Amino acid sequence: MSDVALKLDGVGKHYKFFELDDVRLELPHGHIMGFIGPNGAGKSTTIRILMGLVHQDRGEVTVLGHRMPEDQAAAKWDIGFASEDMRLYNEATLDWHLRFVRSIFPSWDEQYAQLLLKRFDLKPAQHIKGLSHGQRTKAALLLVLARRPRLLILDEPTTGLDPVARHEILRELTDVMSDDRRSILFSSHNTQDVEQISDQITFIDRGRIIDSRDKETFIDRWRRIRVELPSGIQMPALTGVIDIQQSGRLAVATTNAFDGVMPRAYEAAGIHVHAVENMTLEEIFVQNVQHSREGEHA
Amino acid sequence: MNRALVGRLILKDWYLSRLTLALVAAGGSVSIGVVYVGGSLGFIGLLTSLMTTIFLSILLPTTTIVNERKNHNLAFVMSLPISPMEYTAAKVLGNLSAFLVLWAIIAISVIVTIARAGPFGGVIPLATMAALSPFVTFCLLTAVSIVVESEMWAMITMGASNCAYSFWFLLFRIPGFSENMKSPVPIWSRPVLLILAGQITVIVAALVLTFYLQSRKRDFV
Repeated sequence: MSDVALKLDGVGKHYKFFELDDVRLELPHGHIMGFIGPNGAGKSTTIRILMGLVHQDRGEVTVLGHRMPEDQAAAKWDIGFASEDMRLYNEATLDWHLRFVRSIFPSWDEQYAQLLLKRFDLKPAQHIKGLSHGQRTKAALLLVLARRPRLLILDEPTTGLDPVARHEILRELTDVMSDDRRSILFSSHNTQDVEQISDQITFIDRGRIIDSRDKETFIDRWRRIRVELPSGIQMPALTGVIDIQQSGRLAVATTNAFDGVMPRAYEAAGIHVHAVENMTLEEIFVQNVQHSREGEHA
Repeated sequence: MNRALVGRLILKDWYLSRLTLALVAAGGSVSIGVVYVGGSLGFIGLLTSLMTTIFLSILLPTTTIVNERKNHNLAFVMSLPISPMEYTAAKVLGNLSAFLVLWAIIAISVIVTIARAGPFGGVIPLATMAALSPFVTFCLLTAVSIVVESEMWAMITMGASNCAYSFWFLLFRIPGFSENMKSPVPIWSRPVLLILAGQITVIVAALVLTFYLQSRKRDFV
């Protein structure tokens, strides 16, 4: 068995107004990767390439040891896929969908399906067209989870959901990971959701992966340092500081390579360090995107 | 080819089109009955039989292919362990089998009823061409819906196919065509055979091209 659940190596796809460029990504088994990007960044295109629904123009894609798109039919036995724009059949009941999916997948876990029906408060006899957006999302996720797939690929599954529905879905995804053979790739532009459940984070913007590492490293390396500059002293250029915002004598330095030496270096330059603050994933994401875009324009 | 899974997808489409299929079966039965009664009602029966199969030729691909894409169900289907070619096979075979069963029953029943009703054999070549027309429409619409993936192009195909029925009157300008229709036995003249050959060619070409073009496609959802 391959060491990684999925791997993209130098993947590119050209469209008239969008280019996915040199995407390199690996998700080891047993991990949840949050795949974050603004709207139109290339998250869905990357995910469709992973599912074999869109063929890459260049590069290699391997999912659960299967080459994509050639082996997609074999790979999809073990992949559970749900996306924000995926809909079940309006004119059929949830029970019909349950029977349909159960008839295809020998791995179907009926006990778990019944448990999820209760947890999500879904009625099998109800037609899909009568369900709310949250219920439809939960129904789609139930059909995926009860198959017990080794890899879940979820494209914006929590978009448009109320906080309660989001919480229920995120809790189920966390439960899935109690089995360490399973992996999840979870795309979203909601960094709160991603921060809550992921242990790996990848940022994508304008068709390029701009950063990818484990969540703890992100949180540890990104800091905001608030300082006060005595008159006549300039902010020194420290390695790893990617942004400085100054207003009068007060300045805020943002770093993506924080270590304990940085505040001491400022102090040594005669600058008073007021605070070293952790950043939320959303702040890190925004800074990362801005830094990447400034690099493009430089 | 995962035949079991393709079979399940076909059953799914039959189930989801059950209302269309039931309506066509009911309409077809009534039409055949009216043709059987004969007299002045016989002509109405012929027309309603034709309308019923036209209805089937349009509604079946629309329900199972165009609407599936429009309603965002395609991502659900393609998340199942199938390849795009298996999806294509399921769509073509499922639609074709459902269409053929009802179309063949209606078309054959109407033609047999005409043949047994009396000395109206001369009408049979026209009835055969008329019966094949919805089959041509069905194959074209199925091919366009699967390959082009555009509701607009599907509607253009429907419109063009329906407009084509308006040109049937040109048949009566073919020398001898009207006279041949009055014959007690069918007369398969050269123009009639050419038209039938053309219809069959379009049917086969549409189905073959569907698989060929799908095999070259790179984006499915």
